Amino acid sequence: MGSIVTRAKRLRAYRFSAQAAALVLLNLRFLNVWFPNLALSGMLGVCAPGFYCHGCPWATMACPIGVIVTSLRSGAGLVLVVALASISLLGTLGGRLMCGWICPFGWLQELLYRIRTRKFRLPGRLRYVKYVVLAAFVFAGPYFLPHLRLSVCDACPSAFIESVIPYGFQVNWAHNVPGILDARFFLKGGVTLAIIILSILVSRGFCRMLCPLGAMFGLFNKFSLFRYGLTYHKCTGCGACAKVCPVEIDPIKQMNEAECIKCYECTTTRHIKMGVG
Amino acid sequence: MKSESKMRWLLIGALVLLSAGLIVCSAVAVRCRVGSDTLNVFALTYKVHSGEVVRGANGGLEYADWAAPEEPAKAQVQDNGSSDGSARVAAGPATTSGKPHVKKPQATKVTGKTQVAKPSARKPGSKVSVTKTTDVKKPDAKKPGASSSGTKKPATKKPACPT
Repeated sequence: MGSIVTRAKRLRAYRFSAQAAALVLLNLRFLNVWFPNLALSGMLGVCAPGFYCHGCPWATMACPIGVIVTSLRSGAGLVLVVALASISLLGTLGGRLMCGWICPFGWLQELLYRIRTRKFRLPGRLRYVKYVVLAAFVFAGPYFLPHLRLSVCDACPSAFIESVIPYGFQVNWAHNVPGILDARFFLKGGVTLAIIILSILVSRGFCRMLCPLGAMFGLFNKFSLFRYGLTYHKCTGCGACAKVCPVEIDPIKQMNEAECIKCYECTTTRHIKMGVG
Repeated sequence: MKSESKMRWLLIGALVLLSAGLIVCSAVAVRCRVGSDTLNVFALTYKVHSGEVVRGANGGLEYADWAAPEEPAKAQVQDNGSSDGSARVAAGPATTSGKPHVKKPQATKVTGKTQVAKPSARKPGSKVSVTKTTDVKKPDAKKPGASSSGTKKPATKKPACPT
């Protein structure tokens, strides 16, 4: 059985392995470096179960938020339906399980949070900001003002890391290439830097405060297939599960709420069990 | 089984079936509309997003007309290969409205002064004398293996940033 610390380490190892595997699977086109004839772009038609930009040269799947934004801008209603249905399907099955076990940007934030420095708690009300981001910069902005750059993609930190930087190396950081070393570049770069600093200081700061995909998956958390159960007879009210929670919720009071990323860290206390159904 | 649990299972079942059905139906519909050249439902979205399909004159992205399976109408500047460097402005393919999409006259720079050609001065397909333009690249040195007829590739731009 082992102590809580041992169990937590083991669970974290499983989770990090899953996140690393997801990162490899989401970047499977790196195989084209050695096997140029290998056709791996077909999966770009499928929404990724995480926040990963399909502008990345190696990306295997499409970012659901990027697809929604682009389809709203261009009026592609059917593609929008596919993207929303994909999110609905993934959300119904796992809720925010994707945030805790798959999303590469979430993993990056967890790794950044390991940097030893002073840490801060996020005020509870700021969690509603992501719903504003979802409504304003994923749906309203691209739909009503398609030619203004008012979407999440235009200031996306994930796109800057996974797409703009690799692309900059491809074009040797030429000044005359659109999107490289111009206003858009510095806007995205500034947002990315701010979010990196936020992730170092606050656990999963972007996921909890800004992530529009997390906001959408969170809507399904309450009734999704994967969810928590609580063994009340073992609960002593010690609060150990709340201390290990990376999104700083109380799993006893806020079990399966929209903020829970289903990382299962709290199950290491043995008072909470995970389950299907 | 509790009624609450039963309702939850019903909700999960309904949502899964609805989502899966919508994905399949929309994917088939998109494929029929876009064309059968690709199995990729999001191919156009991806390409528009990454700037592969449509690229604006200033290097920014323009968005394709999703209602039409054709490539977006864009004027192309083609070199007719004449020795004096004159170029022919060709009209692009027809738009969904049936009207040919003709590129607006570009400012041409002649001996340091900028002159704008009047729209009535030429028709699509007619020859326009161009000494130096902002969009047309200078003719490169002849590469080994190039055809002897003097045909050159149309001017290309560096691709826009994928995001």
